Amino acid sequence: MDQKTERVTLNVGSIIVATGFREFDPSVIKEYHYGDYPDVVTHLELARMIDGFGPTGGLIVRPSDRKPAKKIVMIQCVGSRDKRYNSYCSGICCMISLKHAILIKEAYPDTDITICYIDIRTTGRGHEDYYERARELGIKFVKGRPTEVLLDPETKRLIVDVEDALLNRFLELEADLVVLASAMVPAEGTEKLAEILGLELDEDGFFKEYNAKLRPTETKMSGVYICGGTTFPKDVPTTSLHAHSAAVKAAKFLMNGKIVKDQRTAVVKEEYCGDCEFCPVTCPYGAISLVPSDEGHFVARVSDLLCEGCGVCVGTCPLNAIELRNWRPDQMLAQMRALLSINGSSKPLVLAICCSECGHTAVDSSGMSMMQYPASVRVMKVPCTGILQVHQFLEAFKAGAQGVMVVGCKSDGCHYEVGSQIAKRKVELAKILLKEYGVEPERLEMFNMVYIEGAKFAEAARMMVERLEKMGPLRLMGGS
Amino acid sequence: MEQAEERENVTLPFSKVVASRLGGETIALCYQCGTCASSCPVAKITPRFNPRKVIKLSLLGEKDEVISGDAIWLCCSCYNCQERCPQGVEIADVIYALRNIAFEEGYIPPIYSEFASALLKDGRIIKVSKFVEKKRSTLGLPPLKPTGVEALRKILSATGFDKLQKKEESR
Repeated sequence: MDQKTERVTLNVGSIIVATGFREFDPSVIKEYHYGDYPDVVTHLELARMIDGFGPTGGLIVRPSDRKPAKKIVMIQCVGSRDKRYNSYCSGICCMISLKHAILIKEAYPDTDITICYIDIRTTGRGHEDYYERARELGIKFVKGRPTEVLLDPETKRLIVDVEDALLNRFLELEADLVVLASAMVPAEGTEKLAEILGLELDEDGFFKEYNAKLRPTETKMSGVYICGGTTFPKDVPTTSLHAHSAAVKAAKFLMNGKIVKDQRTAVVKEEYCGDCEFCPVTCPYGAISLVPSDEGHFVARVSDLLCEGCGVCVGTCPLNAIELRNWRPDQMLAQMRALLSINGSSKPLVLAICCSECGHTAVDSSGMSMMQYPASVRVMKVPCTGILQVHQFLEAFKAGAQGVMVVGCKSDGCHYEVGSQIAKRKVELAKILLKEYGVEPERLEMFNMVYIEGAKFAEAARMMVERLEKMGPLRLMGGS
Repeated sequence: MEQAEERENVTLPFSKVVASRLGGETIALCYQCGTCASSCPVAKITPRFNPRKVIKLSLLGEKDEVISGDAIWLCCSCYNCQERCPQGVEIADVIYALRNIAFEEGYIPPIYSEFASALLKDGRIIKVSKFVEKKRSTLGLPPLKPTGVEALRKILSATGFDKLQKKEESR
């Protein structure tokens, strides 16, 4: 009772965000008069009444006069499946209504309960049984979303105005108590917490999982996990499942006692770095910050823990002051030259620069499904197409390529968020430069594909070789 | 390619026809919750009009029943349904789109046809009677100005309304 708010500082190795969801405030839906009429309540308030240890000791009463509520109308989809408020289905309100209706009906069998629904959704193990039990108990169902809750000025009873679409008849349901199945929305402070932890939110304001199918409960910040209602409204079994997943992942993360990371992270050459803000702004992971240097200006500093090694910063730096470990420009150039040193076929040499995610995997899938593409297409793997700089395309031509393909993820599906969009812009810029140098810009092309599209890669490679055969050999200024 | 061309030649389903008209774009979003019907003051007093049913029939492709019936002409354009629709279906505007289709196909209640001829002739849908003019002067209102029927005819001709109306009158 005498507890006070206190601030505790903890030193932790991993964070699980389980802040849950909250009930949507239905008072913004004026026609249901929540907040105006005391007898219009939400399911959360009804749950307090049902609770034997609650304020009414388990009695279902009208809040206005504390008399027992004999007629109850429940309204589904209040603020959910509604484009004006939340367009998604909150998923659990049907079950909440069925559960509450059954509990009330079993305790007070003479209570008249009607549920007004658009669709009853009882997906989940054993959930349909609730619906069946509700029908057996004599709970009534009306297919229709009420337009308004009215108050009879004389009897002080509520009237729910609804069309039963199955009967094609208008009903004015009298009620002592109207219960709104309000939508479930992100918990208060979700936005602020996301900002503090560097997490992303989805379009509905819930926390975004790294990949809902393949990497659930993970976030793009390693060591930070999310579970339960933070990602979307969930029923208890699913929440439990989700929590187990997050707990196991956090335990696995902590048990090593150390973090094993790929060496592929960005390194700043401080003597070249000076004051511009390109890389901290471009980095999709917020891994780069600006710190004052000894020489009185600001230099970039990369957090090895946060860096995911995409190299987008490398492609952005105007001074070549940032490099990816083991992917230095001279190493990439050497690789390029080696790949293009021998042709061995009569077809024109093509350098296919593929990103390590979708691009290179698409090449793999074309191989796995035995698709053929010309042998003169040489595949070079880079972490992300975002690492590429304009001069590298030109160097490829100098090294002997007749054509260059840049193969990256779809612009909205880049594994490093912005890499393939940035690469696209650079390819367009390089095309302008090629034209200036008297080289056909069609020799350079960007392709975007998903990792399973092996056929698309093989087709693109064939198309590119055919195009180059038609164009004839490349002529660079100064011979060859 | 051939397939795509073939597909273009196939006549569009009625719901797509409505969706391609001004005002009808949102028709396919409807999930039949019935909020419009219970909001509708007309549906409350007559079983001949129910906005939910009009939309459902249109979506099911029952074109003849929708455009030849009198239901679409009974909407009083109060926009109550549109305000409350949770899916953002512009119901009253969909009904205007349906009325336009019906008008083009020659289904129009006589009273609307009379309004249209009066509009083309005098620039007003209802003739101003001597009684109204007298009443205005007793209320201290200025006499009504001429309607500028020439300009109005130009506008109506630019929209193709006059041709449709002539077709209607010759029927």
